[in-house]
Amino acid sequence: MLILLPLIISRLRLKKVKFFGLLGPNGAGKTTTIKILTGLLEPNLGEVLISGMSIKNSLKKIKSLIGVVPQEIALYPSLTTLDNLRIFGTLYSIPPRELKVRILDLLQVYGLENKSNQKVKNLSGGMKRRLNIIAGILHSPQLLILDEPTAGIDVQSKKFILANLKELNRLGTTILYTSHFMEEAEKFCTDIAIIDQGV
Amino acid sequence: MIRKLFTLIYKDTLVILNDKAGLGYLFAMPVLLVFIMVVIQDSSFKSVSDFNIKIIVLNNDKDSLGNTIVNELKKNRNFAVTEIFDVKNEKFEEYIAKGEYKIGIIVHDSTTYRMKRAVNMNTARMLSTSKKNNLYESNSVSIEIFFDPITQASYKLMVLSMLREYSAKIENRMMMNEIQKRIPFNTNSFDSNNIISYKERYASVKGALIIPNSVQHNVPAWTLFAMFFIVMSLAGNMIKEREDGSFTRLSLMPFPMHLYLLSKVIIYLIVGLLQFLLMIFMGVYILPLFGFPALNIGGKHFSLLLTGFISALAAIGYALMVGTFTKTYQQSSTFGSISVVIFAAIGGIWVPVIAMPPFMQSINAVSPLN
Repeated sequence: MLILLPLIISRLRLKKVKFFGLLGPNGAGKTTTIKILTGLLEPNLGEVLISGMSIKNSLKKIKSLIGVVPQEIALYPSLTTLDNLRIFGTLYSIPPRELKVRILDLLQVYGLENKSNQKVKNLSGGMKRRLNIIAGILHSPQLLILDEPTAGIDVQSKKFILANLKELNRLGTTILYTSHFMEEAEKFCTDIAIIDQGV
Repeated sequence: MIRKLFTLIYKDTLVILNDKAGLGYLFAMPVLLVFIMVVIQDSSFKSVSDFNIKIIVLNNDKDSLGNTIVNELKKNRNFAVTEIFDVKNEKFEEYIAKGEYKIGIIVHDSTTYRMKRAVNMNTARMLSTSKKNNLYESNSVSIEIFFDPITQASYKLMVLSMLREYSAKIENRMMMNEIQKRIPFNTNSFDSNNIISYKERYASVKGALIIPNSVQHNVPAWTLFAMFFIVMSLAGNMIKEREDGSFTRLSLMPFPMHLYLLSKVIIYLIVGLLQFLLMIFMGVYILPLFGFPALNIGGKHFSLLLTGFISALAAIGYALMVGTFTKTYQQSSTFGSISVVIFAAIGGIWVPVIAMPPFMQSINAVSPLN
């Protein structure tokens, strides 16, 4: 039997350059919220506006402004780190020269410079998480949405990822971050919202 | 947009090339399938054009009828005839039952003598003015024929007709001799050759004759079937992208989703055409190296390529549908492979459409393998 829990968010406003934490237990509706915010799901009611643009009417433009790091490792496991990033970067319309520099920079920042020619399937869980984030920020998005980016990784990798996200936020990227770890959110987020059973 | 399309094509190419087992499945398996089908169906096609049936004749008659049967059968290049004498019937039957020979013919001792006697009696009765015809009771003469149970009905029919023809010829000759004894006439003036002659020709359009053989039938048919192997690969590829999350990432990127489908169509069209050309190449150049006739493509290269192109598109369309409507890799591989086999059956890959019952012929068009 499929039970559809309603997701009711009366008003959620993200100010620019905030590190916003959306907290809630498993099944609370965090991923559904992200799917609605990124246009993967349509809301029954209401509207999502990003930079003043409606997601309904300007989805393509909004897609260029936002970066998404899904909960699962959304990469091609049989391709190399470099191929994955080249492909995603090109699909974000980053010019080839700029893309090359950007990839090298990000690989260095995230400590994956030696793994550029390694296939994703051969990377460790923490490395895959980091690469997953790089793929989401490759095009320097204004808004970065992360769905539990630290799930299932060791403490060291978790610290490393969160520190880098903080730095990214400091440099001007608005971050919406979901987690079910309160301590983590308290430490890094400027604003927090709690969601439970879709409300 | 074009740059994005090329990037997606590049991505799909890398995904295919990195999956070595999948590549083997896409190219080696179809080649193997076509080769095996040609080999195993070769003998059944030879039955139509160039067969060699092993026949054993127990010629206990050792007279005109027995000798004529043996000599006439030996003249026919379709038979490998072995003549034996004085073997017990049970032992003779064993040769056929064990499959050493497909057909066995026993011409019993004194068959010619008894046939001559029967013909004499018949002739005498025919020419007699007496009303007491029942005085001349003819004895029927029989020739026993044993068939291997797996012998095809067409072989049986052919051998029986030949035996009837040989025995009728001898019977006629005997009858003529008998009549000549009673009513003298010049037997030399009798033309014993058949008055009606039969000229065999193969039907063709504008002289473009292609005689059916295992290669000619199996290479095109199984090539079409094998091209549909991409259903499992393409549908599997789509499911995998959904399962590993890469499809989600692509959905979040600023490009229209029809580019995603178009890149798959283009790359799998190339794969399908390569498969097609590989198997045609095998039919034309490789199979003759193994002693099979070369595939005759009749010089219509463009039509052939167009057929391959359209078949590949049909396979891709079907694969995209399977990839879209199935939820898991297991579902797509099971449904994809079984449905392709069913469509192959409906489409006439196994049994020619003309040999199907009318109902099946009417639904034949629904198969993308038609």
